[in-house]
Amino acid sequence: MKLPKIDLASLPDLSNVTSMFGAMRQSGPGHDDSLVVLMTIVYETQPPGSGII
Amino acid sequence: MKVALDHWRAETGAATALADFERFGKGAALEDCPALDQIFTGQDDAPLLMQALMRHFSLALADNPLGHPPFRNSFNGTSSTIQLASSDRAQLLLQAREPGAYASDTASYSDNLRFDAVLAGKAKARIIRIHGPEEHVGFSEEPIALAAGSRLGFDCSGEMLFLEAVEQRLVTLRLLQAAPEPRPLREYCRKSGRLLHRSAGKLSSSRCEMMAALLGRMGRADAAPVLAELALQQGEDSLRWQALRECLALDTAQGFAALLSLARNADDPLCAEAGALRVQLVEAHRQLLQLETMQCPA
Repeated sequence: MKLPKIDLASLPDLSNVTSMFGAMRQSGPGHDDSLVVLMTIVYETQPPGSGII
Repeated sequence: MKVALDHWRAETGAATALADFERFGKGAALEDCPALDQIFTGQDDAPLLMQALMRHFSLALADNPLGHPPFRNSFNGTSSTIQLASSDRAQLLLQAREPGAYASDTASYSDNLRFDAVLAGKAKARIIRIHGPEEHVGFSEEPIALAAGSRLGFDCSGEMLFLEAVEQRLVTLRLLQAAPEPRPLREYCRKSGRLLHRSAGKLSSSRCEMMAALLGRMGRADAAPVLAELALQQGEDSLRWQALRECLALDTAQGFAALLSLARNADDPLCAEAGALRVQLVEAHRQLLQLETMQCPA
């Protein structure tokens, strides 16, 4: 059977759209209390004696 | 810095608390984790734990002034957060809020349990509780004064603490435990109680959703079985629906089979939306009706 190709744009989203994790309507101090997730921070560490410090 | 961390973790109080913390992360109740319970309900243990932390890291920083304590951290101008430990569903955080007055038109709720031990500072706060249906809630508010020694416990799915006025920098040791299958975070208008915004309850859900979108944009039809499986298994509705959409666009037969499974399962939260989409697709593409007849379990 030859089936049609369905266009993604024709497929509706859910009525109660949910945004990505951590997305906020507005940034503000009211938001940091109930959910805390910190992204990985990449920083350089130089042990003493490595030539830089 | 690593040595300082190891020494702190090895101290008697910290070692037992961190052992408890591992169990708490696996879902144990606070009262079943005695050392942790003592920190967040008693008066002495939280300051002692933090004094030990400061002692080890003050010495380490004196020796290595440019050293970085090996904790994830952030500062946004008003709040600074240090993640002291993380295990499965639990996090142990040290948070400070700068002095000042704060206001917000919204209140947010997530499926977390939260325990706070205030170590220092002084603030006026408000516990904002919600009740009623998820789409439109009512509020009840309770003013509360916070100072060193305050101990609080919240079910964040219906309670939040809003700091209104920080008189002296408020430093809090905080313990969080996420629900095993958290619902999306809900943000409400404080005036009307209307639901304004929802965001995914789990980081992994959004990560999978982005992966599904990427596979779709890459045209990877070979991923259709995985996407169908994702759509049919337990998880956040948003992720499952996006996986279904991508699956339908990549492989009509597999996607439509998954859609029928959802539409036929009255217990599935996506049943109604799947049923509506089935009708829409069958009207637009009559061949799908034939496919459905062939796949009919009867």
